[in-house]
This record gives sequence, C-alpha cells and structure tokens, in this order.
Amino acid sequence: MLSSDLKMQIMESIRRRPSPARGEAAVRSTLLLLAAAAGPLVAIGFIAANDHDPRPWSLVATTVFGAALATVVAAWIALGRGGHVLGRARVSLLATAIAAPVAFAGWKLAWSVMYPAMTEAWSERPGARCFALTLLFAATPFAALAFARRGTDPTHPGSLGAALGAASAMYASVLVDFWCPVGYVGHVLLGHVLPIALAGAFGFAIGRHVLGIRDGR
Amino acid sequence: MGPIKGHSAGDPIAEDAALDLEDLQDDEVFSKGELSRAHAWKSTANAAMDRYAAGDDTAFSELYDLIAPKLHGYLLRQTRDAARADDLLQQTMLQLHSHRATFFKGGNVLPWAFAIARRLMINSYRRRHREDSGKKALFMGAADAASASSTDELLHSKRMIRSVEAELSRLPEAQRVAIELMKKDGLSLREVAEILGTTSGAVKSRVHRAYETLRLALGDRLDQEER
Repeated sequence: MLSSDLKMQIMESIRRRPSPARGEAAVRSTLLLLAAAAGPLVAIGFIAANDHDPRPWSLVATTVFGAALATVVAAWIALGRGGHVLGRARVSLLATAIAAPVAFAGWKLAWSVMYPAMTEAWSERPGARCFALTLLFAATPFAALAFARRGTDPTHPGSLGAALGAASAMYASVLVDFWCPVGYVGHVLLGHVLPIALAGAFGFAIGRHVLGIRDGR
Repeated sequence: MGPIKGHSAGDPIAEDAALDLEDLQDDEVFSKGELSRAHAWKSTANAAMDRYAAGDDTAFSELYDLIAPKLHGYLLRQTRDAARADDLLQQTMLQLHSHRATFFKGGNVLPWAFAIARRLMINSYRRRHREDSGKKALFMGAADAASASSTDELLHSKRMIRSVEAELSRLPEAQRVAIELMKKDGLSLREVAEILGTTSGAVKSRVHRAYETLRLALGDRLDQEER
C-alpha cells in the first residue's frame, strides 16, 4: 500500500524540476540540430570554393546523392522509434552502424570505377585530411543528438549511440565527399569509411554513459 | 485459452501451477473479463501520460495513481526493502517527468515505466555491490486463509507456496524476471519483450522453460507430500 506522503514527496520533487513538454522540446531539439549541422555545411562550402575538383559533375552528383540517401535512411532508423516507446530493436540500430560505412564504400567505389582514372592511386592524398574532416564534421551533429536524447534509453543506450554516431558521420561524409576528388580504394577506406566505423564505435561507448538512464538524484 | 483457475491479479503463482502451457498465447494472461479491464486501465494510463507529455501538468497525479502501485509492487518484490522500493519509485516517476517530451502520441507508458524502474534498480544494485543471491523468497503472497476449510489445507497451501517461491528463486534470472513481469505485473508478452530489450519469441521461450522447470520440480514436491 503506497503512502500519501510518498505521493506528496514525489509531486513536490517534480514541481521543483520543471521539464519541457513535447512541443517545446521538439522545437529546441530541431533548432539545436540545425545549428549543429549548419556549421560543417558552411565550413565545407568555404573549403570547396578554394579547391579545383577534377571529377566530372555527374560523378560528384551521383556519389553525393547516394551518400545523402544512405544518410537519410541511417538517420531515420537512428532517430525514429519504430512505433515503440522504448525505441527500435538493438539489432536494427547495430545493423545501421555496421551497414553505414559498408554502404558508403560500396556506392562510392562502384560509381568511381565507371570513370577513367578516378580510381588511380594518388599518393599525395592518402586520406588523412578526409579522415580528420569527417570526424570533425560529425562531432557537432552527434553532440546535438546525444544532448537531445541524454538519459532517455533504459534498454540499449550503447546501440542507440552507435546508430547516432554512424548517422552523424554519414552526414559528414556527404559533405566531405562533395569536396574530395579522390576515389582510389585505399583513400576511400582510410579517409571516408574508417571514420564512419569509428564514429559508430565511439557512439556506442558514449551512448552507454550519456544516453542511458541515470540516477536522477 | 480459458480462464486461469482461481486466478486474479496479485495471487501467488502457486494458483497458476495448473496452467496448461499450450494455452499460453501472445497476449492472453488473464481471463477475458480481466483482460478487457486490463486494456481499459492501460488505455487510461496511456492517455494520462499523453496529456502530461503534451503539457497538461495536472495529468501527473492521475498517472501516478494509475501506475505507481504496479511499479511499487514490482520494485518491492525485487528489492524486498520497502524504503528502497519507495526511493526507486520516486526516481522512476522523476524520470517519467523529466523525459515526458520523449513520450510520443499513442505510446504505451507501462513498458517504458517498467524498463526505467528495472534499469534504476540494476544501477542501484551495481552501485551498492549487492549480490544476486537468489536465496530470498520472491513473492510475498500468502495463502488465503478464508478459502482453506481446514488447518491441514492451510498448511498445505503454505507449504506449496513456499515450494513455489523456492523453485522460482532457483530459476535463471532471465526466466524468473520474464515470468514475474507477466504473471505478477500483468504485462503482455510484447510489453515484457520491450522492457527486456528482446523479442516476444524469446520471452515466450523463457516463460515456457520456466513453467517446465516449475512443473517438473513441483510435481516431485506434490508426490512427496502425498506419500
């Protein structure tokens, strides 16, 4: 039998800790995410404006479009909850984190081989800059998403973090791919695929601590 | 599936020992009358949480009255400590309040609340380095003295319940938690699967194995008592 004192104590606790309702929280999260995504977009605009890209426009358009589509799918899976209040199944989230880098590599390489010289080795461009830029551009969207979903997942916060990390890195990869003219296998794997995989792994580690339920005291 | 003999929410699981496993289907835990009452209750709780998530602060009191007793019962069974159960209940309700914005329209509040409670309880155990001894009794149910027509029947009921409690404590944790959430807290297979982060099929399998183990163990006990 619950005591009325306990109820009063709980009601007083929540009175002292206001929390936003659904509508207000949605507006805040959206603005935060847009701001986090805008930074890298502006940055790549400045970078790309100063570089000459030898790729045909058709190759740029197809690789960027495909990566963008994969990013939308990854983000939909990571951010959506599939109609369940406790979110998507762990296997769906982990599959997203694993499939994202594979999908990017497959799409990028499949289109690049169709154009002459686009997959020839380019020793001056091993992929370090693309690696760093991808991780850098993924950081702000991931931070915004982790902040918005902090402390909300009681069942599989690590898997959610992995999916959010991979989706954030996919977004960054779209931006970097818009600028990067290199298409040989070694560069794509090091500079574009590896950061997506690492972002997923990092997201898993961070997610377990940030996204999981914590003692509210 | 027909009604479970003599069962009503809150009765010791000893009453369910006669449940035929073939009758266990996805959402059928109670008799049909109890099921419709359970659905109505869940709909009311979901509506209260939905209003609260949308910004109606007065809905929290109604939500508390609807789900707090069930949550508290679950926490009390798991912790066997009234003060800790009260504390965990308070933390759970605070989490529901703090993250009310994440509750989407049409969502189901009960699996969410139970999952939060379970996670807070696990976190608490880890923090306190508590051993999962499995030695303590898991149910607080007691024989219904009014239904016993004789002292012998009362004693038999008590022995039976102690036997059930002992066998339950020996079950692997995954099976024990699944069967408790379904039988004591009245959650459906789907809801238990959401709370435990697994599939309905896996939960059904755990409950099936738990019942088989209990049936084998209690069958032996019944035979011993009859000799």
